[in-house]
Amino acid sequence: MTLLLEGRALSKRYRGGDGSFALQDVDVDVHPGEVVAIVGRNGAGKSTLLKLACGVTTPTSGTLRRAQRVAPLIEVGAGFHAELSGRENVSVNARLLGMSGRQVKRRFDEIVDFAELGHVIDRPVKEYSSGMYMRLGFAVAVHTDPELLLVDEVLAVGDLPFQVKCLDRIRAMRADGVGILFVSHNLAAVADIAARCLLLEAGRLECEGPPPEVIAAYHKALERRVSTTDGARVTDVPAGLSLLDAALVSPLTGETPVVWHPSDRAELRLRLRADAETPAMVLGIQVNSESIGLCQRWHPDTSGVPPLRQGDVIELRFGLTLSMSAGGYSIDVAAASSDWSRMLLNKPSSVSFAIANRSGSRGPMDLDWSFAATAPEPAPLTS
Amino acid sequence: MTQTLADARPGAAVGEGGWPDEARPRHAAAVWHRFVQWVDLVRVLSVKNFRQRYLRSKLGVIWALVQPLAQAAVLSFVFLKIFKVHRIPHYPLYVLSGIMAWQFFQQGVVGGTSSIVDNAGLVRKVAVPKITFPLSVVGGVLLVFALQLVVLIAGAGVSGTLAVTTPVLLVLSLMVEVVLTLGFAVLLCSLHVSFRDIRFLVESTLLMAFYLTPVIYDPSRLPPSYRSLLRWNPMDGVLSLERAALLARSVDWTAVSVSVICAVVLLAIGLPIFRRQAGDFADLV
Repeated sequence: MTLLLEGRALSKRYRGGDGSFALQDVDVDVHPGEVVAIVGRNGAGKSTLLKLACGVTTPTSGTLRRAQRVAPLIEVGAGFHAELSGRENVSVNARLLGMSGRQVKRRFDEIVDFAELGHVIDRPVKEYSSGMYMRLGFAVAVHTDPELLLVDEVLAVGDLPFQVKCLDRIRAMRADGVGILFVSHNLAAVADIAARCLLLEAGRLECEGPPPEVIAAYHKALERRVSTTDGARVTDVPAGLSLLDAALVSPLTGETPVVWHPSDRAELRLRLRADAETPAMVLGIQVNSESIGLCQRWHPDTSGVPPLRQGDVIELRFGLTLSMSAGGYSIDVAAASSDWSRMLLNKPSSVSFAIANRSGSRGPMDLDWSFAATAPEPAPLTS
Repeated sequence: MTQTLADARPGAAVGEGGWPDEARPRHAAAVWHRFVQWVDLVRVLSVKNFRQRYLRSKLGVIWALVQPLAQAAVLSFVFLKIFKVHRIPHYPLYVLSGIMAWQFFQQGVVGGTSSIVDNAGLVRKVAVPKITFPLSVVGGVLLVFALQLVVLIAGAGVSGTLAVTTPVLLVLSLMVEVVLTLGFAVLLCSLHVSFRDIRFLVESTLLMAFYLTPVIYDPSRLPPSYRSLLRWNPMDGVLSLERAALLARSVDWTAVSVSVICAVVLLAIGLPIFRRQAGDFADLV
């Protein structure tokens, strides 16, 4: 089968940069009907690879061949103008992506329907929420009928139902033989839709293969990352504790539901094994939202945790109320020695979970309101 | 589904950062189709640039007329009533036509110079031919000027200075001005990406150039030595053509030749420089 994208030994050193290679000696292939994900930390070269694939910038060395119709953008909604209405932006954006005036006219309603923005399409996009903005951008991009679609973090924003819709659309395009190369930090989505996954590390291709294996390798790489625990300076690999198991379960059933609802009670269960004698520790727990980043970081009072000898396994249970609104979340777990001098454990994204929409509610929090109205007092009789 | 792979060697075929599949279209029909599509894009972006300028104001596009009219009114008052200079016939229309044509040039050159940097979001993220950006800036100011032309022609009608040659001369002056503005814009924007000082240099140079251009005065009244020096200003010829069209004055063909040569030479220098630099724009903005 003919390749939609064939990059060989691609290297990129940005003009006007510090002279270092943003990408070095990377091979990339995309076959028709194949979804390929790129993962890696910030600055690993993921976006650079997309930019080369799409043609916004040229490789310093290496060869690149690609299909005729490549969606020429790497970020949905790029080039939207805040003051212009959704309608005008669709018209401009679709042409930027290579649609003809006739095509735009023909597919306009389809685009707006897909984005579910018919009611606000004549309002300036500055009034849109970031989710609506992404929806419109994504809708335009998938309606340009590309052979190869390149997208950067398309699944980062937007409410859950729309993410589901995007994933459905991507599956449908895949079935039609469209190749998709995308960057995402949403590892659940990567595991779900990608056939192959590339892990980039400092501009080089660290490994490539089926998503579960590559994601595992990525997690290993992340452990060497700077910790999420305040104070502890980590220059070396954290050691001393292992996280055997982490789960967010319902306290009633002990099971993990597919989707949580706002204000659900939940229990975070961590099973730790001491790999060395651990007289005392400080724990750091951080909840991250895919759309807004850090939600909360805190250090539970661990004075009640007994000293651990080497090989001890302990389970910690934290009760919590999910006071957040709809979206994707992850929990990082870290531990340091009680004097903060040594990192014992650092596991970003130990648990990830999704919270469904509560209708009629907006904003990052869900405050679990209650509501009551008193019986009307009769108006004083006037005689 | 086409399964052809377009060759794209570093620096060469992906080159200019054109449409990604533009590399080597095979059929003349396909090339033509691409071109039509691109022209449509330039048109839509020009309209967007035009709309964007007046979008947030209450009077909107009326400002395109109010501004130069007010300026012309003040200048006419100063010269006709205060200094009592009556040497130029139909002075209000003379100065208004000068101001409008000058603003077209000035806004086209300033906007065109920073067009790549101003569109950094697009340049970095969408692979379209980069020449689209300076072109659509000039397209946007051309739309403003088209609107102003209606006022100018009406003014000429009232003054009784319209002639049979008006349409020909007007089209000629527009063509020269568009190519000249584009020439400056294309050359300067490729420099501006690497040297951001260019923008300020351009702005201040244009401020001075305003006085070296016969916008508010009549060059034929200058001493001959100054007059011949002034002909080296490429806007001199443009204004001469425009006023010949609107005010039934004679055309200074020497000045026009200078304008045409200048416009063509600028494009001939600017386009290759632009093409060579365009591949790096996404890295540098």
